[in-house]
Amino acid sequence: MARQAARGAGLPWGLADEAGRAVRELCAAGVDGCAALAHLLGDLRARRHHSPAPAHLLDRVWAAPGGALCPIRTGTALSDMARALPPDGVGLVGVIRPILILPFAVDVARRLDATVTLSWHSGILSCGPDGVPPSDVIVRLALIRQTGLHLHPGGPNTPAAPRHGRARPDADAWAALVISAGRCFAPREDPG
Amino acid sequence: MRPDGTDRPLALRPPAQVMRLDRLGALHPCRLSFARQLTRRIEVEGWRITRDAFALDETGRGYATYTADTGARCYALIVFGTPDGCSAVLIDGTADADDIQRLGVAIRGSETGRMTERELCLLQARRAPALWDHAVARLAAGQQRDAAAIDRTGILMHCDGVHGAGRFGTADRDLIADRPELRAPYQVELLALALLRLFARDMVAHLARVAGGARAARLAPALACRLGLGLSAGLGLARFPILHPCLFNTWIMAREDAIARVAALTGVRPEDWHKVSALLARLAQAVTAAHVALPAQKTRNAALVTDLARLAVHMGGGPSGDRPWAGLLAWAGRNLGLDGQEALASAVMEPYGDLVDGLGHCMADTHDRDYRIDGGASIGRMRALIAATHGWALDLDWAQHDRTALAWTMTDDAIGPLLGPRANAQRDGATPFELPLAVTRDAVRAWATLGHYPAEDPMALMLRDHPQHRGAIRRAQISGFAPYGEIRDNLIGADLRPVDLLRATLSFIGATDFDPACDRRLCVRVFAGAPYPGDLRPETADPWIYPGAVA
Repeated sequence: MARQAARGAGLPWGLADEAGRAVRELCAAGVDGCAALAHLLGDLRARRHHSPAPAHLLDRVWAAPGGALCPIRTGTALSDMARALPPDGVGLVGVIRPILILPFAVDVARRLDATVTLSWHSGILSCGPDGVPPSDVIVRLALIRQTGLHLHPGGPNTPAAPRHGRARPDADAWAALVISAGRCFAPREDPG
Repeated sequence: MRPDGTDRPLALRPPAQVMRLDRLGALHPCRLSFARQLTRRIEVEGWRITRDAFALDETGRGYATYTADTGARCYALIVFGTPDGCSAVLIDGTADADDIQRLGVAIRGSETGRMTERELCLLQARRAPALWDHAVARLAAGQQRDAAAIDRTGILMHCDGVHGAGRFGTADRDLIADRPELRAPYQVELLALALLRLFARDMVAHLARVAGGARAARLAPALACRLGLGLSAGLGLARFPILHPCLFNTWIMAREDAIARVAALTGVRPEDWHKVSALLARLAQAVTAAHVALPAQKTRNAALVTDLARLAVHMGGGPSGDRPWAGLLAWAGRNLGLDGQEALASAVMEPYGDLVDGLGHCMADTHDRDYRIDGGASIGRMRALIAATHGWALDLDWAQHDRTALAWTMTDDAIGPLLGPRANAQRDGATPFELPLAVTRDAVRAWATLGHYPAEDPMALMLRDHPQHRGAIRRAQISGFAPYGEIRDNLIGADLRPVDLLRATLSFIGATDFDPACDRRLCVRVFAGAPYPGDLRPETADPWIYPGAVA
């Protein structure tokens, strides 16, 4: 559903796949990834005239020309560039719905086979290759609409949260995803 | 090391030869097929199969439960019968009264979210009237069905829905994939089908007893053994090999490795040679007797029978040459059609379980979901990877209408994918409704875009600018370690026959009796010819896909 909703919101299929995977990982860690994505898709629609992708991937600070970084665009770039990131980390300016970047931070940890640490104005969180850790900090991060982040290698290795087999999405968020997903379905042919 | 004791690498057939749609559409099941992996495991590990409850009325309404006890775990199939067919749920563990009560309500409920993580697979099946009613009537009168009548239809039940791996709320594959007995693909679904086949046999016996009382006969074991379950598959399954390049690569690579191992054998015992010849003769008999719907399939079957006859003559002289199987396979490549070549390629594995069965452990792969793009790879490297796989398509004129005549779309999650004119996927000059299954076209587009970047630049820079190529780049990187993952044909061309994709997947599942209903739907049987799960013996657990081989 998350994948189709992202596609229905206009993301290319390759990014929609990434969005679906990020939501799945968050839900498996007990975080309502569906709500995060529903909010993100709404935010992106409101900012559709601004590119939400980082402009310069080889810099130490990533920012979007429009002032807001999409966590899916930014997260995939982090994952892609994991082995080429600056040794003291990378700053991310104005990430919207920053909770969605967490699964990509885990990707970076996996690529480096080492713990990485994500910090923002009111929190800090380390995650290792095993997955998203259990933490109250995550709950607070999920409430943040937009913030600057810093991701750098290192930090205490926290075991991953036990995996949840069932997502329990917020009903309104789920309904929003269903509507968005419907936009990638072709119109039915007229049987007559 | 090779089977001949040397260190030379095995000569596998190249992907450019194997991964063509017409060849994939000619594959036959083999020792590595998943249904055979299951029956082998049931026999080798001595699973206990029991019928624990059978509470059905005179119309077939009620429930029955069957349990497969592996020694380490139990799996139970709870079947809810109706006068027309049944629904069934395979659960993790044994079934108790609460499960029966709960699932009896759940299967009548809405179609979404009605299962729990304990439910592994949901089946929906209907009686096959062509055989069912007559079988019940004959058995009720104390008579057996004749073998010809059974072979004509070959099924008591037709399965309309097989849902697992998260579908309709069943357990995610992640939860069970590390269990040895479920690690190979489709083991949950096939175990559920194997137990459902048992139910179909028992149900016919029950209804015959209801109608005929003490004089009713039971279906003779040899006849019951001939019966399979009917399945038909369409575009939902056809896209499976496209969606799972890593997994499909492991399937094809395992089979190609097995063929190469056998081909490398230098000493071939005459009895092994004759065993293969005899199995192919059985296949020829079955194909000759097959009732298929499409004239084109009849023609194709006739050609296969002719090829198998030529092959039988050629094999009549016994093994010869340094590497007899390699010589025979090469002869087949020069003299037989694709159906005949692939029938032989599957059959040559039969005498060599010790040599090839271990490859069955290599046919599960999770990289399809977890593989992460290496954005540090160079643009030049990516272009080379795409050219290596899709080089044949780079110079084609993709503006030609026929090359992109079709588009895969969906109109609804519950209906599954559709394949239709490209206009169905278009709106305002774009194709917002097209599913990402136009693999070759998308690879060619990505290759062209890559040409605008310096060859030494990292891939991530191009992906930042052109995220629409992310899927194609990911697949290209996968092709670097999964050489049999990509089909070397156009998947949106006007001449696409999805039934070729279906045949490939269903042959690996272990289905037989391929009967295309059209070029987008394939009807098959599963477990036809197989002993029932509790009756498997070392000599019968394996060769049953060849009709009559275990009767």
